[in-house]
Amino acid sequence: TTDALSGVVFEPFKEVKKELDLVPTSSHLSLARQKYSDECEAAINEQINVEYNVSYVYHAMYAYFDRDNIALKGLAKFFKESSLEEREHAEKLMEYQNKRGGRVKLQSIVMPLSEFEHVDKGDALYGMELALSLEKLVNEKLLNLHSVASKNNDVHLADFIESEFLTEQVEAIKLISEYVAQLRRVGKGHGTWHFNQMLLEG
Amino acid sequence: AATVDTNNMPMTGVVFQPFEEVKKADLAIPITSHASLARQRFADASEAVINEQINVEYNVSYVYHSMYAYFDRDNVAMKGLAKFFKESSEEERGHAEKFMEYQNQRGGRVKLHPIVSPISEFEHAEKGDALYAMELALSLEKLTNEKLLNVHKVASENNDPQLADFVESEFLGEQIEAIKKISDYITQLRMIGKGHGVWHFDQMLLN
Repeated sequence: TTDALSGVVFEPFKEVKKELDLVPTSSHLSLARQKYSDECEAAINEQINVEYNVSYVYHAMYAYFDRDNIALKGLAKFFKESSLEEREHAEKLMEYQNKRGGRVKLQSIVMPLSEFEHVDKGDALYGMELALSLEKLVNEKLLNLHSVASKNNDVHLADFIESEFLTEQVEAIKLISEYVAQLRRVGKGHGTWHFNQMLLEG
Repeated sequence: AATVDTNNMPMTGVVFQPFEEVKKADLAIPITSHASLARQRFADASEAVINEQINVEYNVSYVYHSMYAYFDRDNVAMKGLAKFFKESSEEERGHAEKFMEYQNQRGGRVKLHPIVSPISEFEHAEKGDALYAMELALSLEKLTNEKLLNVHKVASENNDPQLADFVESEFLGEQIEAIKKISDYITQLRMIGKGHGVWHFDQMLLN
Protein backbone atom coordinates (compact mmCIF):
# COMPACT_ATOMS: atom_id res chain seq x y z
CA THR A 1 0.00 0.00 0.00
CA THR A 2 2.92 2.33 0.68
CA ASP A 3 3.97 2.00 -2.94
CA ALA A 4 0.99 4.10 -3.96
CA LEU A 5 2.11 6.99 -1.78
CA SER A 6 4.31 9.54 -3.38
CA GLY A 7 7.31 11.08 -1.61
CA VAL A 8 8.08 8.00 0.49
CA VAL A 9 11.86 7.88 0.73
CA PHE A 10 12.35 5.36 3.52
CA GLU A 11 10.36 2.19 3.84
CA PRO A 12 11.54 0.64 7.08
CA PHE A 13 9.66 -2.62 6.96
CA LYS A 14 10.68 -3.31 3.41
CA GLU A 15 14.30 -2.43 3.92
CA VAL A 16 14.61 -4.22 7.23
CA LYS A 17 13.55 -7.48 5.61
CA LYS A 18 17.00 -7.83 4.13
CA GLU A 19 18.59 -7.49 7.54
CA LEU A 20 16.03 -9.81 9.09
CA ASP A 21 16.99 -12.52 6.63
CA LEU A 22 20.59 -12.05 7.66
CA VAL A 23 20.06 -12.63 11.39
CA PRO A 24 21.87 -15.91 12.04
CA THR A 25 19.90 -18.84 13.40
CA SER A 26 22.92 -20.89 14.43
CA SER A 27 23.81 -20.33 18.07
CA HIS A 28 27.49 -20.45 17.13
CA LEU A 29 27.32 -17.18 15.23
CA SER A 30 27.27 -13.69 16.58
CA LEU A 31 23.95 -11.90 16.26
CA ALA A 32 25.42 -8.45 16.70
CA ARG A 33 28.12 -8.69 14.05
CA GLN A 34 27.72 -6.11 11.29
CA LYS A 35 30.23 -4.98 8.71
CA TYR A 36 33.06 -6.29 10.83
CA SER A 37 35.75 -7.80 8.67
CA ASP A 38 37.77 -10.91 9.47
CA GLU A 39 40.90 -8.85 9.03
CA CYS A 40 39.87 -6.43 11.79
CA GLU A 41 38.95 -9.34 14.05
CA ALA A 42 42.37 -10.93 13.54
CA ALA A 43 44.21 -7.62 14.02
CA ILE A 44 42.45 -7.09 17.36
CA ASN A 45 43.40 -10.55 18.58
CA GLU A 46 46.99 -9.74 17.65
CA GLN A 47 46.85 -6.47 19.56
CA ILE A 48 45.46 -8.27 22.62
CA ASN A 49 48.54 -10.48 22.48
CA VAL A 50 50.88 -7.49 22.10
CA GLU A 51 49.41 -5.77 25.18
CA TYR A 52 49.48 -8.99 27.21
CA ASN A 53 53.12 -9.64 26.30
CA VAL A 54 54.15 -6.13 27.29
CA SER A 55 52.25 -6.53 30.55
CA TYR A 56 54.25 -9.70 31.23
CA VAL A 57 57.60 -7.98 30.52
CA TYR A 58 56.68 -5.17 32.93
CA HIS A 59 55.76 -7.75 35.55
CA ALA A 60 59.26 -9.24 35.16
CA MET A 61 60.76 -5.75 35.54
CA TYR A 62 58.73 -5.21 38.70
CA ALA A 63 60.18 -8.42 40.13
CA TYR A 64 63.72 -7.37 39.18
CA PHE A 65 63.57 -3.94 40.81
CA ASP A 66 61.89 -5.40 43.91
CA ARG A 67 64.90 -7.67 44.65
CA ASP A 68 66.67 -6.96 47.93
CA ASN A 69 70.00 -6.42 46.20
CA ILE A 70 68.46 -3.97 43.70
CA ALA A 71 65.98 -2.24 46.02
CA LEU A 72 64.64 0.40 43.65
CA LYS A 73 61.13 0.37 45.11
CA GLY A 74 59.93 3.33 43.07
CA LEU A 75 60.80 1.62 39.80
CA ALA A 76 59.26 -1.60 41.09
CA LYS A 77 56.03 0.28 41.82
CA PHE A 78 56.10 1.99 38.43
CA PHE A 79 56.47 -1.29 36.52
CA LYS A 80 53.94 -3.11 38.70
CA GLU A 81 51.37 -0.47 37.86
CA SER A 82 52.41 -0.42 34.22
CA SER A 83 51.95 -4.19 34.00
CA LEU A 84 48.41 -3.89 35.30
CA GLU A 85 47.69 -1.04 32.91
CA GLU A 86 48.79 -3.05 29.87
CA ARG A 87 46.64 -5.96 30.99
CA GLU A 88 43.70 -3.57 31.20
CA HIS A 89 44.39 -2.49 27.62
CA ALA A 90 44.25 -6.13 26.58
CA GLU A 91 40.96 -6.51 28.42
CA LYS A 92 39.52 -3.40 26.81
CA LEU A 93 40.30 -4.86 23.40
CA MET A 94 38.74 -8.19 24.44
CA GLU A 95 35.59 -6.35 25.41
CA TYR A 96 35.58 -4.51 22.08
CA GLN A 97 36.10 -7.74 20.14
CA ASN A 98 32.94 -9.13 21.74
CA LYS A 99 31.06 -5.91 21.18
CA ARG A 100 31.58 -6.22 17.45
CA GLY A 101 30.80 -9.94 17.38
CA GLY A 102 34.36 -11.11 16.90
CA ARG A 103 35.87 -14.01 18.81
CA VAL A 104 38.63 -13.46 21.31
CA LYS A 105 41.56 -15.78 20.71
CA LEU A 106 44.24 -15.55 23.37
CA GLN A 107 47.63 -16.54 21.98
CA SER A 108 50.77 -17.75 23.70
CA ILE A 109 52.87 -15.35 25.71
CA VAL A 110 56.63 -15.56 25.49
CA MET A 111 59.07 -15.69 28.36
CA PRO A 112 60.36 -12.22 29.23
CA LEU A 113 63.89 -11.25 30.29
CA SER A 114 64.51 -11.45 34.01
CA GLU A 115 67.86 -9.66 34.28
CA PHE A 116 68.15 -5.96 33.51
CA GLU A 117 71.75 -5.25 34.48
CA HIS A 118 73.82 -3.12 32.12
CA VAL A 119 77.43 -2.23 32.79
CA ASP A 120 77.47 1.23 31.17
CA LYS A 121 73.92 2.38 31.60
CA GLY A 122 73.00 0.79 34.90
CA ASP A 123 69.80 -1.18 35.34
CA ALA A 124 67.39 1.72 35.90
CA LEU A 125 68.28 3.46 32.66
CA TYR A 126 68.48 0.19 30.74
CA GLY A 127 65.06 -0.89 32.02
CA MET A 128 63.55 2.48 31.19
CA GLU A 129 65.03 2.50 27.67
CA LEU A 130 63.59 -0.96 27.14
CA ALA A 131 60.20 0.30 28.33
CA LEU A 132 60.41 3.20 25.88
CA SER A 133 61.11 0.90 22.95
CA LEU A 134 58.21 -1.32 24.03
CA GLU A 135 55.84 1.64 24.20
CA LYS A 136 56.92 2.72 20.73
CA LEU A 137 56.40 -0.80 19.46
CA VAL A 138 52.90 -0.84 20.95
CA ASN A 139 52.24 2.48 19.22
CA GLU A 140 53.41 1.04 15.89
CA LYS A 141 51.07 -1.90 16.36
CA LEU A 142 48.16 0.38 17.26
CA LEU A 143 48.77 2.48 14.16
CA ASN A 144 48.83 -0.70 12.14
CA LEU A 145 45.49 -1.68 13.66
CA HIS A 146 44.16 1.75 12.72
CA SER A 147 45.27 1.32 9.13
CA VAL A 148 43.56 -2.09 8.99
CA ALA A 149 40.39 -0.39 10.23
CA SER A 150 40.67 2.33 7.58
CA LYS A 151 41.39 -0.14 4.82
CA ASN A 152 38.23 -2.03 5.75
CA ASN A 153 36.17 1.15 6.07
CA ASP A 154 35.52 0.44 9.72
CA VAL A 155 35.06 3.93 11.10
CA HIS A 156 33.95 2.75 14.52
CA LEU A 157 37.05 0.70 15.07
CA ALA A 158 39.22 3.57 13.84
CA ASP A 159 37.54 5.94 16.29
CA PHE A 160 37.83 3.43 19.13
CA ILE A 161 41.59 3.19 18.65
CA GLU A 162 41.94 6.93 18.34
CA SER A 163 39.93 7.86 21.39
CA GLU A 164 40.87 5.00 23.72
CA PHE A 165 44.47 4.22 22.84
CA LEU A 166 46.46 6.57 20.60
CA THR A 167 46.45 9.61 22.87
CA GLU A 168 47.32 7.56 25.92
CA GLN A 169 50.14 5.93 23.98
CA VAL A 170 51.62 9.24 22.92
CA GLU A 171 51.46 10.41 26.53
CA ALA A 172 53.18 7.26 27.79
CA ILE A 173 55.97 7.70 25.22
CA LYS A 174 56.48 11.29 26.32
CA LEU A 175 56.56 10.36 30.01
CA ILE A 176 59.02 7.51 29.61
CA SER A 177 61.23 9.60 27.32
CA GLU A 178 61.41 12.18 30.10
CA TYR A 179 62.37 9.47 32.57
CA VAL A 180 65.14 8.28 30.23
CA ALA A 181 66.46 11.83 29.86
CA GLN A 182 66.38 12.37 33.63
CA LEU A 183 68.10 9.06 34.35
CA ARG A 184 70.83 9.93 31.84
CA ARG A 185 71.29 13.25 33.60
CA VAL A 186 71.41 12.02 37.19
CA GLY A 187 73.84 9.15 36.70
CA LYS A 188 73.98 5.80 38.41
CA GLY A 189 74.61 6.24 42.14
CA HIS A 190 72.85 8.77 44.32
CA GLY A 191 71.08 10.21 41.28
CA THR A 192 69.27 6.99 40.46
CA TRP A 193 68.36 6.46 44.09
CA HIS A 194 66.89 9.98 44.22
CA PHE A 195 65.00 9.46 40.94
CA ASN A 196 63.61 6.25 42.41
CA GLN A 197 62.40 8.12 45.51
CA MET A 198 60.61 10.56 43.22
CA LEU A 199 58.76 7.67 41.56
CA LEU A 200 57.91 6.19 44.94
CA GLU A 201 56.44 9.36 46.36
CA GLY A 202 54.88 10.72 43.17
CA ALA B 1 83.84 -4.26 64.55
CA ALA B 2 82.90 -7.73 65.68
CA THR B 3 85.69 -8.43 68.07
CA VAL B 4 85.34 -11.05 70.74
CA ASP B 5 85.32 -9.76 74.23
CA THR B 6 87.93 -12.05 75.69
CA ASN B 7 86.91 -11.05 79.18
CA ASN B 8 83.82 -13.16 78.66
CA MET B 9 85.75 -16.30 77.94
CA PRO B 10 86.53 -17.45 81.46
CA MET B 11 82.98 -16.75 82.59
CA THR B 12 80.88 -19.78 83.14
CA GLY B 13 77.32 -20.02 81.94
CA VAL B 14 77.90 -18.07 78.71
CA VAL B 15 75.75 -19.90 76.18
CA PHE B 16 75.56 -17.39 73.34
CA GLN B 17 78.44 -15.37 71.99
CA PRO B 18 76.92 -13.32 69.21
CA PHE B 19 80.10 -11.79 67.85
CA GLU B 20 81.82 -15.13 67.76
CA GLU B 21 78.95 -16.97 66.12
CA VAL B 22 78.21 -14.32 63.53
CA LYS B 23 81.64 -14.85 61.99
CA LYS B 24 80.58 -18.20 60.54
CA ALA B 25 80.94 -18.45 56.77
CA ASP B 26 77.29 -19.09 55.99
CA LEU B 27 76.32 -15.84 57.67
CA ALA B 28 78.80 -13.82 55.58
CA ILE B 29 77.22 -10.96 53.66
CA PRO B 30 77.79 -11.19 49.90
CA ILE B 31 79.98 -8.50 48.36
CA THR B 32 78.83 -8.84 44.74
CA SER B 33 75.81 -6.78 43.80
CA HIS B 34 74.41 -9.73 41.83
CA ALA B 35 73.73 -11.83 44.90
CA SER B 36 70.87 -11.35 47.29
CA LEU B 37 71.82 -9.94 50.68
CA ALA B 38 68.71 -11.18 52.42
CA ARG B 39 68.83 -14.80 51.30
CA GLN B 40 69.12 -17.27 54.17
CA ARG B 41 68.46 -20.98 54.19
CA PHE B 42 66.45 -20.72 51.01
CA ALA B 43 67.02 -23.81 48.88
CA ASP B 44 67.39 -23.71 45.10
CA ALA B 45 64.62 -26.31 44.91
CA SER B 46 62.28 -23.98 46.81
CA GLU B 47 63.20 -21.09 44.54
CA ALA B 48 62.53 -23.18 41.43
CA VAL B 49 59.22 -24.56 42.66
CA ILE B 50 57.99 -21.03 43.44
CA ASN B 51 58.81 -19.93 39.89
CA GLU B 52 56.86 -22.95 38.66
CA GLN B 53 53.90 -22.02 40.85
CA ILE B 54 53.96 -18.44 39.50
CA ASN B 55 53.62 -19.95 36.05
CA VAL B 56 50.75 -22.25 37.14
CA GLU B 57 48.79 -19.33 38.61
CA TYR B 58 49.46 -17.15 35.56
CA ASN B 59 48.34 -19.89 33.16
CA VAL B 60 45.11 -20.46 35.08
CA SER B 61 44.51 -16.72 35.08
CA TYR B 62 44.87 -16.74 31.29
CA VAL B 63 42.41 -19.62 30.86
CA TYR B 64 39.87 -17.78 33.02
CA HIS B 65 40.37 -14.65 30.94
CA SER B 66 39.57 -16.71 27.86
CA MET B 67 36.42 -18.04 29.56
CA TYR B 68 35.39 -14.48 30.42
CA ALA B 69 35.67 -13.55 26.75
CA TYR B 70 33.62 -16.59 25.72
CA PHE B 71 30.71 -15.90 28.10
CA ASP B 72 30.74 -12.21 27.19
CA ARG B 73 29.98 -13.00 23.51
CA ASP B 74 26.66 -11.61 22.27
CA ASN B 75 25.47 -15.05 21.15
CA VAL B 76 26.38 -16.61 24.50
CA ALA B 77 25.39 -13.67 26.72
CA MET B 78 25.95 -15.09 30.19
CA LYS B 79 27.04 -11.93 31.90
CA GLY B 80 27.13 -13.51 35.35
CA LEU B 81 29.56 -16.22 34.28
CA ALA B 82 31.58 -13.62 32.36
CA LYS B 83 31.86 -11.55 35.54
CA PHE B 84 32.75 -14.61 37.62
CA PHE B 85 35.59 -15.65 35.31
CA LYS B 86 36.84 -12.09 34.84
CA GLU B 87 37.19 -11.75 38.60
CA SER B 88 38.70 -15.22 38.90
CA SER B 89 41.32 -14.31 36.29
CA GLU B 90 42.33 -11.25 38.28
CA GLU B 91 42.44 -13.31 41.46
CA GLU B 92 44.79 -15.90 39.95
CA ARG B 93 47.08 -13.15 38.67
CA GLY B 94 47.03 -11.76 42.21
CA HIS B 95 48.21 -15.15 43.47
CA ALA B 96 51.07 -15.14 40.94
CA GLU B 97 52.06 -11.67 42.11
CA LYS B 98 51.96 -12.75 45.75
CA PHE B 99 54.42 -15.54 44.94
CA MET B 100 56.62 -13.08 43.04
CA GLU B 101 56.70 -10.83 46.07
CA TYR B 102 57.53 -13.80 48.29
CA GLN B 103 60.32 -14.96 45.97
CA ASN B 104 61.98 -11.56 46.37
CA GLN B 105 61.37 -11.55 50.10
CA ARG B 106 63.47 -14.68 50.43
CA GLY B 107 66.15 -13.52 48.01
CA GLY B 108 65.17 -15.79 45.14
CA ARG B 109 64.94 -14.61 41.55
CA VAL B 110 61.63 -14.43 39.79
CA LYS B 111 61.71 -16.19 36.45
CA LEU B 112 58.55 -15.80 34.39
CA HIS B 113 58.00 -18.73 32.03
CA PRO B 114 56.00 -18.81 28.79
CA ILE B 115 52.22 -18.98 28.99
CA VAL B 116 50.34 -21.26 26.64
CA SER B 117 47.44 -20.30 24.43
CA PRO B 118 44.19 -21.34 26.17
CA ILE B 119 41.14 -22.83 24.45
CA SER B 120 38.59 -20.28 23.33
CA GLU B 121 35.50 -22.44 22.70
CA PHE B 122 33.59 -23.97 25.58
CA GLU B 123 30.61 -25.48 23.81
CA HIS B 124 29.54 -28.97 24.80
CA ALA B 125 26.61 -30.75 23.17
CA GLU B 126 25.40 -32.68 26.23
CA LYS B 127 26.52 -30.56 29.16
CA GLY B 128 26.09 -27.11 27.69
CA ASP B 129 28.80 -24.49 27.90
CA ALA B 130 28.14 -23.25 31.45
CA LEU B 131 28.46 -26.68 33.07
CA TYR B 132 31.36 -27.68 30.84
CA ALA B 133 33.34 -24.53 31.70
CA MET B 134 32.58 -24.85 35.40
CA GLU B 135 33.79 -28.45 35.38
CA LEU B 136 36.96 -27.29 33.65
CA ALA B 137 37.36 -24.60 36.31
CA LEU B 138 37.01 -27.22 39.04
CA SER B 139 39.69 -29.40 37.53
CA LEU B 140 41.97 -26.37 37.22
CA GLU B 141 41.41 -25.46 40.86
CA LYS B 142 42.18 -29.02 41.90
CA LEU B 143 45.31 -28.97 39.77
CA THR B 144 46.37 -25.72 41.41
CA ASN B 145 45.79 -27.32 44.79
CA GLU B 146 47.98 -30.31 43.79
CA LYS B 147 50.72 -27.92 42.73
CA LEU B 148 50.43 -25.95 45.98
CA LEU B 149 50.71 -29.14 48.00
CA ASN B 150 53.82 -29.92 45.99
CA VAL B 151 55.30 -26.53 46.90
CA HIS B 152 54.53 -27.34 50.52
CA LYS B 153 56.23 -30.71 50.16
CA VAL B 154 59.37 -29.14 48.69
CA ALA B 155 59.36 -26.68 51.60
CA SER B 156 59.18 -29.54 54.11
CA GLU B 157 61.88 -31.55 52.35
CA ASN B 158 64.18 -28.55 52.53
CA ASN B 159 63.32 -27.76 56.16
CA ASP B 160 61.83 -24.43 55.24
CA PRO B 161 59.05 -23.94 57.81
CA GLN B 162 58.54 -20.30 56.84
CA LEU B 163 57.74 -21.22 53.24
CA ALA B 164 55.53 -24.07 54.42
CA ASP B 165 53.63 -21.65 56.64
CA PHE B 166 53.35 -19.09 53.83
CA VAL B 167 51.73 -21.68 51.56
CA GLU B 168 49.45 -22.84 54.37
CA SER B 169 48.26 -19.47 55.58
CA GLU B 170 48.03 -17.61 52.28
CA PHE B 171 46.96 -20.29 49.82
CA LEU B 172 45.78 -23.68 51.02
CA GLY B 173 42.71 -22.47 52.90
CA GLU B 174 41.61 -20.26 50.04
CA GLN B 175 42.14 -23.06 47.57
CA ILE B 176 39.89 -25.43 49.45
CA GLU B 177 37.20 -22.77 49.67
CA ALA B 178 37.41 -22.22 45.90
CA ILE B 179 37.09 -25.96 45.24
CA LYS B 180 34.02 -26.18 47.46
CA LYS B 181 32.37 -23.15 45.86
CA ILE B 182 32.90 -24.33 42.29
CA SER B 183 31.74 -27.85 43.22
CA ASP B 184 28.53 -26.30 44.60
CA TYR B 185 28.08 -24.45 41.30
CA ILE B 186 28.50 -27.68 39.32
CA THR B 187 25.89 -29.46 41.44
CA GLN B 188 23.49 -26.58 40.92
CA LEU B 189 24.14 -26.43 37.18
CA ARG B 190 23.55 -30.18 36.86
CA MET B 191 20.29 -29.79 38.79
CA ILE B 192 18.76 -26.96 36.78
CA GLY B 193 19.41 -28.06 33.21
CA LYS B 194 20.43 -26.05 30.20
CA GLY B 195 17.72 -23.54 29.27
CA HIS B 196 15.90 -21.28 31.70
CA GLY B 197 17.79 -22.86 34.59
CA VAL B 198 21.20 -21.77 33.33
CA TRP B 199 19.91 -18.27 32.63
CA HIS B 200 18.61 -18.06 36.19
CA PHE B 201 21.91 -19.35 37.59
CA ASP B 202 23.71 -16.73 35.54
CA GLN B 203 21.51 -14.01 37.02
CA MET B 204 22.36 -15.27 40.49
CA LEU B 205 26.10 -14.85 39.73
CA LEU B 206 25.51 -11.41 38.31
CA ASN B 207 23.74 -10.01 41.37
